[in-house]
Amino acid sequence: MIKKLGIIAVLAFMFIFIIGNVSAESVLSTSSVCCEKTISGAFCLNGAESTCDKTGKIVPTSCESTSFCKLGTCYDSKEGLCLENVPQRVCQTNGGTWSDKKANELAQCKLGCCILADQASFVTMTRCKSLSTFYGIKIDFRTSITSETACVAAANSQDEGACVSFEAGVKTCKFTTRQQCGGTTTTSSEILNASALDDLSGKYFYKGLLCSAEELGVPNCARQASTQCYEGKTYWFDSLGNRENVYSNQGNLSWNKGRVTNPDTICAKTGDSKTCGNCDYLAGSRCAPWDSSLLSGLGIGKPKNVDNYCKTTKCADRDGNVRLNGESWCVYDGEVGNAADPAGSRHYREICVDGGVQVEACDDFRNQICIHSGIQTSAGEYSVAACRVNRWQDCVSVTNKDDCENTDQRDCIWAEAVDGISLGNPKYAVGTTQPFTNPVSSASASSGASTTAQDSVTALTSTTNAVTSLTGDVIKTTVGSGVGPWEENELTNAWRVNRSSVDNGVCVPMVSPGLDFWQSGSSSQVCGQATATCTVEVTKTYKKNLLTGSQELDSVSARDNECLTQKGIKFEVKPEWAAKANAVCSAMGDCGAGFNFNEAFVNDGYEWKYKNRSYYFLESDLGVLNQRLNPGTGEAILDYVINSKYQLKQGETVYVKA
Amino acid sequence: MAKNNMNQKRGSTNLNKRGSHRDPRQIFSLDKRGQVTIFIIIAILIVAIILFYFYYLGPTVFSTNAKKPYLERCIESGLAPQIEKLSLAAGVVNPTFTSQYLDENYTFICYTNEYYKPCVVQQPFLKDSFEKALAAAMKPKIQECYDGAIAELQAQGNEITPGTIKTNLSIDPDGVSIKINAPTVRSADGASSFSKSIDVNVYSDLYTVIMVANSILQFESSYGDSDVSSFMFYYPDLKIEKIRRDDSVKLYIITDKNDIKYRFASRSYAWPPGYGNTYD
Repeated sequence: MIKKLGIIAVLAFMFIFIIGNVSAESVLSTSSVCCEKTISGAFCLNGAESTCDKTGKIVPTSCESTSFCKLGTCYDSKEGLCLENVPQRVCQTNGGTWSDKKANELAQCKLGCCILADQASFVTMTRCKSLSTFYGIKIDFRTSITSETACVAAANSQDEGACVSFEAGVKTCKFTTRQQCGGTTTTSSEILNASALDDLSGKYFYKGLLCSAEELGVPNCARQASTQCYEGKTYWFDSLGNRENVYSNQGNLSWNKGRVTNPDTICAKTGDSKTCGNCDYLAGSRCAPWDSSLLSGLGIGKPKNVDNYCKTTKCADRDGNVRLNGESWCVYDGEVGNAADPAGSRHYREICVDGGVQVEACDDFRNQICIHSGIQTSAGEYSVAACRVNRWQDCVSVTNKDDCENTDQRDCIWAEAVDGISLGNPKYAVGTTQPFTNPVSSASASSGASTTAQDSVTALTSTTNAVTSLTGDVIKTTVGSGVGPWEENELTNAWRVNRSSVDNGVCVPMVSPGLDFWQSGSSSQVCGQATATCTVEVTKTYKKNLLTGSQELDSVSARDNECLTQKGIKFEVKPEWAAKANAVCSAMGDCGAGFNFNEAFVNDGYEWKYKNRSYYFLESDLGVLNQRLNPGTGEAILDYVINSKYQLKQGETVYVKA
Repeated sequence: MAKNNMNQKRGSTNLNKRGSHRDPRQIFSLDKRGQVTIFIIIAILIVAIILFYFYYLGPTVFSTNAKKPYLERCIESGLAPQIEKLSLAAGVVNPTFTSQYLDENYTFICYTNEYYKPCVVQQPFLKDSFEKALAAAMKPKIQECYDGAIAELQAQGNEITPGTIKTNLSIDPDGVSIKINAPTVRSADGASSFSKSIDVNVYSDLYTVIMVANSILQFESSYGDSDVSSFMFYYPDLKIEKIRRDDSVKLYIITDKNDIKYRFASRSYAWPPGYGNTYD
């Protein structure tokens, strides 16, 4: 009679990625005092007492709690400028008036529209007075205008025309606004009062007329005497220095019989032209002086009396694409998004400014990400990019797909879970001895066990992290979670996930954050949140040798799993599983093995163990390591490439022990 | 063989002078007189171009600065280097609280050593502090220029009674204005004259540069960052660079069209790597 003996074994296959092993205490600096002044010369900083300048006040509390370093609004009564976040002492020392209120709560900081002739500035009243006094014009401060846009519009909507008066008996003219002229006005440029034109004591404003208009009869006012730049366009100026219409090489068209006309009626907005002064920022040009280099200086190609032209402001990006002035776009060090940003990489924003490309780095450690969008214009798409904060911090605490992919709240992606993966266990940190469990319900564990042979003998072995509850199943649907869904079993002190509130998958940062893993910091906190422990149920069947009476191994079987490959009675580790776990780990930050932004393979920052044996990725495993998470679908990992060369080294075959 | 070729070339040149068919290959085969003529023509052309350039186009480097009074010239010559020097330190004399980058120091005008918090303003009134620093730096130079002007007038035979000078320096939208109150009595040929104040105005974009820096400071202290490109679109004559360091320090360089660089640093709303802690 063959007596079958079933033995259930548990293979605990642990895969832990660790970066750093720094105690949290080492990164917590002590902040005990408020220094009025530090040794380095800074004012009002919280810090260690040793950093304080002994000549200033040192108070064992936060600076916000002191009177001298309390932050508030500082008002400069001379210039009419208001500045927030200024310590009281700093403000008063510099001659300012300090208030603990916000700037928008202070009357003297209230902004309004200051009309300065044909210009406008959204400033305080004091500043408006200061500017008006400087330019010698009457103050026009409009508190009813409450936005900068409306202020600019108010300036643009002012009537412009010729302001004619007599100075020392000689008729003179100034092209200005009706308000600035301040004289008796005519309602229309067509109404030219002959008596007014000869009124020696009067000042008359003629809306829509240029000073060079023949009807005005201003002596010594020759039209189109020179060109100058004004608001980005090239304008004609008369011999008295008054602005006329936009420049065009067709002089009469531009002069328009001495009437003001819209630039677009003279010549169409232009990107780069020496014959039309209707320069346009969006079209890629702005007014600039004629090149003063020797060849151009000789006047080659330069029209008479024309010292300015529409200079192109277009740029070429790294790929040779033409970019318009003001266009900005993102530049990355390597792969971006989809949790694929390599360690050490950073996002950049490039801007086309006046024909040159400026590079602006986003915050380091990928604390900022570069985002871009396009505005459709008649000339094509106008790209706009910006660096903004990377909201990755709460990704691992999110347990359902919709919340994870809510881009209004966070920058995360939902990816397929890996067998045994655990994210964000609040009680687990690498290097500690906190209990760890695969967060699978005990119900599934018992059902898994019941499928084994009737004569089987259950032998439980635990991993070094003390699996407190046998799952009895390969954990396909292990899901990470944060503080919310995790719950502690008071009897066993084991932490497990409350699966009722969790979707199938893991939520990881879309742009994995950078970590200063070479220094004491939070890298262990971040990377330590991703840990995978794969538990496999193995059944061995023995049969009794009737001749010898001894028991011999009859068969070995394991439940379908991702962790092991069975070869006869032996099992080998599956690198694919390790690589999947590594991909999740890398998504957490600069964790795990992989390629850095310099395309160098870094085989560090992880721990891959089975019992006391450690395994390492080989550099030839690049294909395996290159796999990336598949965001959103939660079904499969894309670009999953298994390097066929992967083999365990000799002597590393994993045996299943009964 | 070579000698024969040379003779042939000479022959060809003469032939051309007589109006015969010109061999293009021999067009440069001129005799000495011809070469001299060409050299003279080229020289005349060069001189004409130079004269045309300097007198007609009048490059600004050859300005009429020499026509200005000595005092004005003297002060102007001392002002430019002081503006340049102070601009590099955001108007702070011998700054101690700085961030170093490529061996250059950038004065912190707003700083916090904490994460997730706005910076604390260190230099609230950039224009005022610049004016004070510039006035202090220019004081010895102005005195020196005044003394020099007195000496110059005395050398011309004037009898001069110098007074104690007081200066008032201000940075205005159209430049730097220095009002020198110097009660000076000048006697010559039996007549005496009294001059009280002298105004020196030097064109500069400094006012605009400082106001832009002030706006950046407002953005930094309120929002933790600023968009320099929008400033550049409003002020096309300014170039504004922002360099982010890995410790969340931002370095700003505002360059005007005269290549004056106004530099400062800020650290606001810093984010730590990873979850970080409260302090840097």
